[in-house]
Amino acid sequence: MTRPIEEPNQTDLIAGYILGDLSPDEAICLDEVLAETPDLQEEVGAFAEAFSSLPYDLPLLEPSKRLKDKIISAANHSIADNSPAALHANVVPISAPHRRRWSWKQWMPTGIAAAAIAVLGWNQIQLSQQFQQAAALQKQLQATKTELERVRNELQANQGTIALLSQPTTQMYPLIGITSPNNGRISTARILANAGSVNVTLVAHDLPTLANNQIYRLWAVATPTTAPMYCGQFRQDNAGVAKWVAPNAACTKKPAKLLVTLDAPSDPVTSAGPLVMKSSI
Amino acid sequence: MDPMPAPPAVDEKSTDLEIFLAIQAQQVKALDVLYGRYGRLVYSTAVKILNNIEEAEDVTQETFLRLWQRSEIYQPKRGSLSSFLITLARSRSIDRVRSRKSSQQKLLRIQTVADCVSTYNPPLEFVTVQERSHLVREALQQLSPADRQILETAYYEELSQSEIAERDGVPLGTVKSRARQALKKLRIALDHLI
Repeated sequence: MTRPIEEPNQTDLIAGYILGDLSPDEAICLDEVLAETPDLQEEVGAFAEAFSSLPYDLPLLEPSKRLKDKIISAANHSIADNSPAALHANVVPISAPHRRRWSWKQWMPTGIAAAAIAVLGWNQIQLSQQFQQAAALQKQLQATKTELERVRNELQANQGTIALLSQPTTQMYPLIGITSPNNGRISTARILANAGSVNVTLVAHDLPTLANNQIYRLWAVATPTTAPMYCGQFRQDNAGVAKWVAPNAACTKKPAKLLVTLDAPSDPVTSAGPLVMKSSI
Repeated sequence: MDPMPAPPAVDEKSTDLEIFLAIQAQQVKALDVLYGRYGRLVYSTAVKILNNIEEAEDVTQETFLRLWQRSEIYQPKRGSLSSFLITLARSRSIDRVRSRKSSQQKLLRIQTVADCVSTYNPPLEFVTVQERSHLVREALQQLSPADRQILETAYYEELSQSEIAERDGVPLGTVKSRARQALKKLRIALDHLI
């Protein structure tokens, strides 16, 4: 662990450096300070680490499974391309081996026969190759079509959430699980909504899948002293996303706390089941 | 000369350093485990900046394959692997956004920062991404909404400080000062982790 340094001017310079806003004079000054006090380099690293921790606050989005396959496949190919066998295949001999000279008389009968065999064989090889190429292309085309369709559906499913995230007016409330599910992971989620809007989107991760007789319910606590207000129920899809309309616009008017409980769909909304998640703000 | 001993096989419980050493030894399984650990974080960072799923996937792929193909660009003693991956993804994403706007400016901070940090072994390395998210959120809660906003703008938007000043109608000096103060507060709030 590195300790924060006390000198305000130095930390100002380091913060400015990490933010990329140093003036030329400040940059020279920081260079001099770092040269004089090499220990400060650790502090530069600590500031860089702090700045790059910001994405940990983002709702974690799940990339397509295809992406992982592409990365691993590319890594495997790069190994194959660098293997000794592959490298040898690319080696071009510096000089051609010495060949015995033949006279034209010796060459002619053998040459005619060889040419005939070569022409016949070449045609067969070409036909076979063309057939194989056509079959491979057909297969590839079909696979591409299927993949395209899958990607299109995935894009369509995620586009709404991304559009919502990109709106400056969207309020985001992080939620964190109360108890660890069986796999040991802690559930996390984000509630996305415009202040005062009844449209609510939840993006969850590791939130246990519900049985048919269960439902999650969202509750908003307007102030620390008021009772939780029922804000609708939901069941997340395979991507962990749920969208619903809250019964009251006050649910999204900057509540002090948000709670998620596990209930039965038939339970009255005047009382709540066990607490599953709560807002981490 | 005896060849270097191969690093042991890695799994989900391996440390980032063990995974990195296995990547250096070109163990595909290590790349698989690293992607499982940080793929969503890198991807989410790219989506936030690019606002485009396809481009974010491209950036995520480039980020992991860059480390795979040129592992020497990361020096374990100079910062955490997660921070390196996030910074690389951010840098590439911002380059793409700027490229869309035909800007020639490039973000080259990653290498310069890595060059000037001599040793690093943050406790943040030893907790899971979920736990880290929780700890970072707790730290961010110690900042005012305005401080958080200015840091997020500096991190995710491709605007320079001058452009932010112009957009918000605030003097440049004020924007710089606010951003620096906010980052200093975050650094102090995360002191026990870095």
